[in-house]
Amino acid sequence: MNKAAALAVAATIAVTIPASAQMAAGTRSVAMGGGGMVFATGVDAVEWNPANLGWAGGWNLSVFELGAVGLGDGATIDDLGLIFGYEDGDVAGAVNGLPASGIRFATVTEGFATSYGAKEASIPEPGSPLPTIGLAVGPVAFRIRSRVFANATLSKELADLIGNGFDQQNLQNYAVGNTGWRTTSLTEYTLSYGTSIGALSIGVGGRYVQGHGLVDGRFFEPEIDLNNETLLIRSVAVEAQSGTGYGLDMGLSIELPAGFRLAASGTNVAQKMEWDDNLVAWTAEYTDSDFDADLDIEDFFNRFDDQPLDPNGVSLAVFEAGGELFEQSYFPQVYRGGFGWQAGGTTLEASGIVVSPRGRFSSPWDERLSFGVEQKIPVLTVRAGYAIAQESLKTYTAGLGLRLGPVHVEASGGKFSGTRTAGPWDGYYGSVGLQVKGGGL
Amino acid sequence: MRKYCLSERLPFALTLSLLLAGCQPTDQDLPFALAPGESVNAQIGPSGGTVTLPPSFSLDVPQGALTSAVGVAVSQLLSEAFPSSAGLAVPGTAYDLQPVGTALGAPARVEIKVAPGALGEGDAVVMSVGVLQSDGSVRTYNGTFDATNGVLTEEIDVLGPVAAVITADAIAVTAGLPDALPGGSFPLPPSPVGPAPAPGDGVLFEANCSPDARQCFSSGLIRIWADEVVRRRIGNELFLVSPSVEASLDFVSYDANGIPTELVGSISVDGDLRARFNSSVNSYTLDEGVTTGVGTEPAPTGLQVSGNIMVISETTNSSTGSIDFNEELEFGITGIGTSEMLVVRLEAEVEFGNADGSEEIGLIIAHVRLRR
Repeated sequence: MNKAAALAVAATIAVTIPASAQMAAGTRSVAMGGGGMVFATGVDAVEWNPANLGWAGGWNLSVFELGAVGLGDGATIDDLGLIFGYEDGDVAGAVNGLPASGIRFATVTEGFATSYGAKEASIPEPGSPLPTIGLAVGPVAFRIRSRVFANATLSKELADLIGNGFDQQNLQNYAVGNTGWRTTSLTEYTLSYGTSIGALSIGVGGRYVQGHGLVDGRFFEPEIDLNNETLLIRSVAVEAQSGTGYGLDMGLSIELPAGFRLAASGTNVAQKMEWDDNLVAWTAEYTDSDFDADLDIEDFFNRFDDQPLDPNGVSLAVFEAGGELFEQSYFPQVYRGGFGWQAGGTTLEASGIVVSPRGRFSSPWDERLSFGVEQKIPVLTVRAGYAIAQESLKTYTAGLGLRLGPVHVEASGGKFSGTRTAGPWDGYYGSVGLQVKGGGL
Repeated sequence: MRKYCLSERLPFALTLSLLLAGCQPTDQDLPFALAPGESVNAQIGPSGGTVTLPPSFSLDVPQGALTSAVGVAVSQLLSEAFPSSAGLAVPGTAYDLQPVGTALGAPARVEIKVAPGALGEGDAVVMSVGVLQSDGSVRTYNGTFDATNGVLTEEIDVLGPVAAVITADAIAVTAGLPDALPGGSFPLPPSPVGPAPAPGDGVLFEANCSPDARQCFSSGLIRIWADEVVRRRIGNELFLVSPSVEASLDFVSYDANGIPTELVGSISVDGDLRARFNSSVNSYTLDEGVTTGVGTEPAPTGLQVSGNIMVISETTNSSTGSIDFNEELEFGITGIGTSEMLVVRLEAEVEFGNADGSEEIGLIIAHVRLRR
């Protein structure tokens, strides 16, 4: 792999920015186009609509859930593979096809697994998130959920440098532009409760948030040595290494005749997140030779030196990198409305999601219209879905569940796609989970 | 037991949701945010330190730059004009950095934020850091400018009020190659200069111009061209800033026809070649010179004149960097009033490496005018 590829890969995957929790949460929802809020039950209802806890009894233990979502904006996954050296082919063609404004990535990964993977790869771990688990008993549910969010931007010129290596003849064109990244790692502890009153069920959820890290980093334009025809690129990141916050969720659900149901919910309708003021500054330098030699991800990260940030002695570069660290670092307020029908083993759902204020922890797929279908057949549950989001971003999804008595093993996945003048959308997401259910769930 | 009605509870739930939705989240303040107009003081000792006035100024003093603790103060000059003979201070970039005149044993890195709207077209390439000295003069330092982030960076070796300055003495590098030099050739024209020199009479042309006397360059003492190769490799926005020229050419012997046969002297051109690379501006120190003879001090050496080409037998290249002046000097002599002006064409080849290991040669040409 092209070493400098590590640079972008590192900035993209290992660290992650807040995108929407919604698309990556729950194998059932993933399989149903990011919807599934109308008839979500048990632990899933914590995320989608706490009012649903008021309908069903029974119990539900979510033993584990692993989910990941990645979306490229301005490049296809194949193009990224070529540029970062994971695939062989026409690198120059892939770079030339990128929009002039560069490309963006957004990822959300399960926190515990991400931390484990980072440790195995000897790169900085995103804190110490707990595994994602949950328990629902009747109208009460408790869920621990860890996530790592990342957003990264990469200029077309730096993509050229990464993909094609350093070329003195191209010295005039290299630029880092808006290349940078933002990552957030956190664990949420949510307690939800729902109660039904006749045909109406209402629910509420309270969330305590433990922040493991909030990082804002960027690259600065190259310093070019004309004598030796070399370049040096500096990178600076600022990190808040802990934080605490809370969020409040609300929901309602209305049973209609003939198996129809109407639902609405809000996530983070009230919220606050406070990060630790004791910041740490990370600085690193990369030269042209790093883009030609084998700089792997471990080398890329180890190049960063950290030092406590003295508020009275902040270099302008550090300020530039961290000046927006706390800007809009709150969670998106998500409002959902849905309509569904369920009869026998068949479920149909349609839902719409709006986000306001979005904050910086939101992603392009947050606001969408989702349509999903679920069919239970002996032992198996088959699901499919479709969603359309902003700027022609769409997704097709599918999932399969295996029910072995109380044990439910589920897997789902989907693909993002879309074409617009600023370049393509392209990405994937997937989720696997193991739940134990009883008492009618 | 009373049965609850949906219509009774639904408005309550919706109202509560709307009230909560009205709680708009706010941004957390950064721990180093300062209010406009605030000043900062910091004790910086031999171990170094950083003094900052976010979001627009910082000074990073390295270890060993100061021998004892010094109270460094910085405040923005909001109303007071930054006095500068070096050029025009960019609005909003002047800072009072005290104590004035404190010499630094190692260069300190100064970073100044420049608002995008404060610069005119092309200003970014000729922008320097100006430091007001104790004697009232302004010394300029030519560093790098990150146009994406609007940060001008340079290393300075003395403290004093600083500002981003649009350099007054920048010479734009002309595209292409110059025409042949005008003027005559030896022997010197008889009028109005006077009789041709007899063999053995020295005819000295010299000039000495430095940034301390900036305006001498605006009279056209030096002009520079770059060919297509140079411009393709390092950009079309090229300037020579803080230029200086030192030249002394003395034709010390002539043949029977009055053609000079021996020369002693030197000629050098210094400055910072500033080039814009996409979104960054970088400096290249130009320190090129030729000395007659084989030593560091000028020594008489043979000279052959053919048309307006002078070929010097022995020269020592005093250049640093990758640009070397050729030993063949093209020249022209023009009579001006009672004196003559010798225009010397210096031609330098610039080697650019290619990814395949080959080299590409570009040309930089300077015309230097010398009077006697």
